[in-house]
Amino acid sequence: MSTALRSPANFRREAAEAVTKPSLKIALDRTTGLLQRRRTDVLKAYPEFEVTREIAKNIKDHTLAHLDHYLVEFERNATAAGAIVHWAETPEEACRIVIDLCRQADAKSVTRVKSMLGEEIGLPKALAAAGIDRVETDLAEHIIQLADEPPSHIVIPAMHKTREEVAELFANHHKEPKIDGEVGTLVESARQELRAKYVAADVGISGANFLIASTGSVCTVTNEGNAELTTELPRMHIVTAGIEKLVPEPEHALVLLRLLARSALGTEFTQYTSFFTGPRREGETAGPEAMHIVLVDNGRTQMLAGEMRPMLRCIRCGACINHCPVYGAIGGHPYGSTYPGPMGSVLTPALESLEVAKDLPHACTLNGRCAEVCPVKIPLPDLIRSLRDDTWRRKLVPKPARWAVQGWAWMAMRPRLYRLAAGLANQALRLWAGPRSMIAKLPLASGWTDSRDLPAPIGPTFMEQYRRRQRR
Amino acid sequence: MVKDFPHVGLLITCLVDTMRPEIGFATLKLLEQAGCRVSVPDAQTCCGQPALNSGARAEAQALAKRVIAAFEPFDYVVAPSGSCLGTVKAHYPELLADDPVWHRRAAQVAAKSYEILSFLADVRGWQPQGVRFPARATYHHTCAGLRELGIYAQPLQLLEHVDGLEILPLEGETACCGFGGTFAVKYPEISTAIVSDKTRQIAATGADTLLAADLGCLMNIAGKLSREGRGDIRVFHPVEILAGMADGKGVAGR
Amino acid sequence: MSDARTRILARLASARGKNAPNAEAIAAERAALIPDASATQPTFAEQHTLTRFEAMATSERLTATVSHIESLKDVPAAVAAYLAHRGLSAEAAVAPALADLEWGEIQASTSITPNQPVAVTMAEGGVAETGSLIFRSGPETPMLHNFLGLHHIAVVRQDRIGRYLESVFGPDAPALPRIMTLVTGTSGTADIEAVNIRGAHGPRYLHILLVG
Repeated sequence: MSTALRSPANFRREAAEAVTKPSLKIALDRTTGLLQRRRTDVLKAYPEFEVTREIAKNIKDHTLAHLDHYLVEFERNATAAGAIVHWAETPEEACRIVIDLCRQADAKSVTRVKSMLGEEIGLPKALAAAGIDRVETDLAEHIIQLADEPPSHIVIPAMHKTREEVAELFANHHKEPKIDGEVGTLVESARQELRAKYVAADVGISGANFLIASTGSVCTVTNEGNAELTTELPRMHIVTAGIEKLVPEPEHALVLLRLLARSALGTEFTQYTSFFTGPRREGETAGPEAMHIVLVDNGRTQMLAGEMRPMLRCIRCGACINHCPVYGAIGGHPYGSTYPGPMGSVLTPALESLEVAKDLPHACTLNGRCAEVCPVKIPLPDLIRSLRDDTWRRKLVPKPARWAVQGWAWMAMRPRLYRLAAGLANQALRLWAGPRSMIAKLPLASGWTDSRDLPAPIGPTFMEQYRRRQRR
Repeated sequence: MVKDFPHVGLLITCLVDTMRPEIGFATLKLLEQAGCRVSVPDAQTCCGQPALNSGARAEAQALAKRVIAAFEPFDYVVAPSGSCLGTVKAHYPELLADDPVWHRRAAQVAAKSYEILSFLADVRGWQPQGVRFPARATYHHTCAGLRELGIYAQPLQLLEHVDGLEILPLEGETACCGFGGTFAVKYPEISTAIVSDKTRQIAATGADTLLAADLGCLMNIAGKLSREGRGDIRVFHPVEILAGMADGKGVAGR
Repeated sequence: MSDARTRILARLASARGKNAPNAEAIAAERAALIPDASATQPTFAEQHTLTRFEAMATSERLTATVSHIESLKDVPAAVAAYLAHRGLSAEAAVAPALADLEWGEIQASTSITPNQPVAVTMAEGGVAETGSLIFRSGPETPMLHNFLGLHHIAVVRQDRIGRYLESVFGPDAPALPRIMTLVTGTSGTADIEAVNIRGAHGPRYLHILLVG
């Protein structure tokens, strides 16, 4: 799927298509299965998880409740350290700031560390439009850049690709591809390919996992070490970050970091955790001469003022995605936005609009596993239900479904009539089934019977049989 | 406090009523064995879950009030379904939060509502005696029971006392089966893909019987097993086993 | 100040409503957010700090190796032993902080190349909880040295290994440098089928010289 055609409005069609791709299923099963097992294992050795997630939730809630206070504190301290802080309300504004900065640095080539905020604001496309060469340094982002595809997961953006597909891409695009069927060899191929590009870049762009108010620091985590290589070598470091990334102090970041690695990849800690505080200092021979931090709103202040506020606690670990049965069946692309899975089904309607994303909150079994694994206790099913309420209120639910629910509810308010209808339905199903106990085809129920049989009732309804017994 | 002879209102659930009354009668029998007086209020229809999950709040509120009024007189409200009971216990109070009087009534009903297996195990301390069901079965934990009501150990504790019944471990035992109420027909392709994983995992256990405590999930899984030519696997709600009423292939057919 | 800033802050203020708490009230709430940091720390009560550090660093996941030396003077010999053991030629990029040691036969240079085979650097400390090394940027300790080598040899004094992550920011810790990095094992990726692979961009091998 090309990056140009993405929209959550196409969810239904793309989901139906996605389930027919065998290689996608293989990739998703291999990956989500492994991540689930690793998370379970690492949490066995961390009985403090429950207490910690409660504290983490409180940290995020407190910061969000006083976000204006903390943003100003962050700005003051970052500025004191020599960084320059910018503010952007919209994706366009944020991209314009970044492009202007790149031009100011006379940048021909920029390296980028994976940042979902960057994806959210469309930075890759904006850089291309401005004629600036972009090198994705995260291995997964490198893969999907070669494939010209959008990310399908927030932690492992190329989750939808099998090793075989990656090998084919590298064979076609790397200068000296190394391929032998082993994942390790593919990684080596990318290492060689990217190394030279780090050195040549004029600007390094990163996101932020946390912004620390008391020190004005930007905290990033990677396992590859690409954030540091991306930001140490070029002349300028630009950070794009959502305003919800704030925490008051480094200690608060530590609590969240303990949860992040365990929830995301099932490891105790991320390999490289860096705190960036301002540009190159006196006496240093390396490091960027300028550091710019672009704080992006893009709908967050509105979320904060409404019912979706708990979603702003999200630390982008992806655990809800890895445990979502719907994601596990269709992957990330059908969601048509930067954020897939349960967290995406809540974020996308807020960041884009409920009109285009109206399918997302409904395409969920409400099984609750996402909330169970969320390290900051976001009540995802409740938020999804609340969005369903909105789709109903704003008449975004298709008319036939609307009438069906209303008609059925009207009937359910009238027990005698309801009994009669239930009895008729029961009889009709038994008649239709005849001697068989499974119904293979049923008019108006193809949604069920196209792919599975419908068990037919054996006798009359419970209420009818029960009343008969009572009379005896 | 375990009351000696509590009066239980049986919430039969619309799906059990129409599609598999056997589960209702098994529940009734078990409640009586566990020393309860059971009534089935005539005024009940459905708990309103389809409306609640469709976003039709006004409709869901109206139905919730009906259920609350119908079941208020009882000592306990019991249903053979984690998702219906979850609606009463986990969602009614929130659904009626804006109305102080109804909110209080909802909370009172919620507090005395139980899914049947957890009611038998936790509230009544009941155990099956002399029940025999020779089978190599496997157990699927249904989502609402598991995550809204916290039911995990109770069904297995009860089934342990059934003679001849062996429970084989199921990979992904706590993963959703893809039913999700109206989701199953609104997004049939996704639902089918999810249930296909479930049936594959069930088949991999080599079990001859599948047990799960929510009829929607049972119909979804049984329907898929049947379509895949695995109709020989019997499918039951645990209450049917515990009550000694498991006949034929259960939800999978006569 | 930009308009965007004014508008964002105004929206946040209005979201909070009229009862804006004063800075003191916020500070009080903030101070109480972590009632007890130990509640969030994984327990390893039975393990000595140094034992835990070594166990974590050399775990199957972090894949580092460790050797012990008595003082900084022993670094060149330990490096030479490592190079010989690995069959590497006797040359290394070393952090300026270590340049004054007697490197003897090893060709030691403070400059570093993009495809440096071996880099030797000085960590400021470590964390037992996670098996991490703490690196702070500065004229004597450039950060790139920790990333460009295929083999990374890190020197750390064992009395600078703290028990938990909180020790990195404790009251005695120096002010933050331009960049401070906690390095926990070697560069890795799980980006293809979630299979863990070493040496993604940074070092593939990490050898820790514990001093003291």
